[in-house]
Amino acid sequence: MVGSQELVAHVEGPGRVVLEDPTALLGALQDSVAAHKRERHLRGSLVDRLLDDRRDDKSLK
Amino acid sequence: MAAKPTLPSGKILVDASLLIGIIDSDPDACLFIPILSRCVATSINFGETLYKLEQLLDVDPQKVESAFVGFGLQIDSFGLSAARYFNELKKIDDLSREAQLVAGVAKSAAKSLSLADLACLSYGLDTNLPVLTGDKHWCTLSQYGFEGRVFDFRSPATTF
Repeated sequence: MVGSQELVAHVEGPGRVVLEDPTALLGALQDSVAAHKRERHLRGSLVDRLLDDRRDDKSLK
Repeated sequence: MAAKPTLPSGKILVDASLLIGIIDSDPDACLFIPILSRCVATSINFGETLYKLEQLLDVDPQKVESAFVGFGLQIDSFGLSAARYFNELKKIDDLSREAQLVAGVAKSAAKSLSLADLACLSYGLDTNLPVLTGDKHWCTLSQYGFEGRVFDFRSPATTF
């Protein structure tokens, strides 16, 4: 994985700003998503789920 | 126009499907992490990414935004000039849907465009940017008059 060389700041609660390497932040997000999928027994790809949800969008029909 | 295998140089418009695929560690999507710094997403499709991830898996939207912005992803506001393409796209969508029904596809299984699809495709038309998506259906729209360039990140042939 190739990451940006700049750190990114995000707020983690009142008065707490965290500087993080985007590669590390993305890795943590990916790990968290994988763990939540396991816990919730969510199988399959989130991309497929997004595309299925879009097909259920009745706003234009 | 079929999906072309090699992304052109310069800016690329990415759909929520690519961003969600990256967060989901989809190997096809992750291949494109190195070019996020030349990618653009509409604010609508980025919002879709954020709410889907939070709704499904309680993923913190602020962290998702920080990660993508940190990699250099540009998030552009969606404006009126792009919205004006909705009508044209809906006509293309109707033609595509009609052709699927004629070909024997069941009404419930026929693919059509959602509002989020229209947002990404219309922005691509308005800005003349190539679009990178995981939705193969978008790649079939050229036969009904869609004039934009669409690339499928799930196709092994798509490279940069």
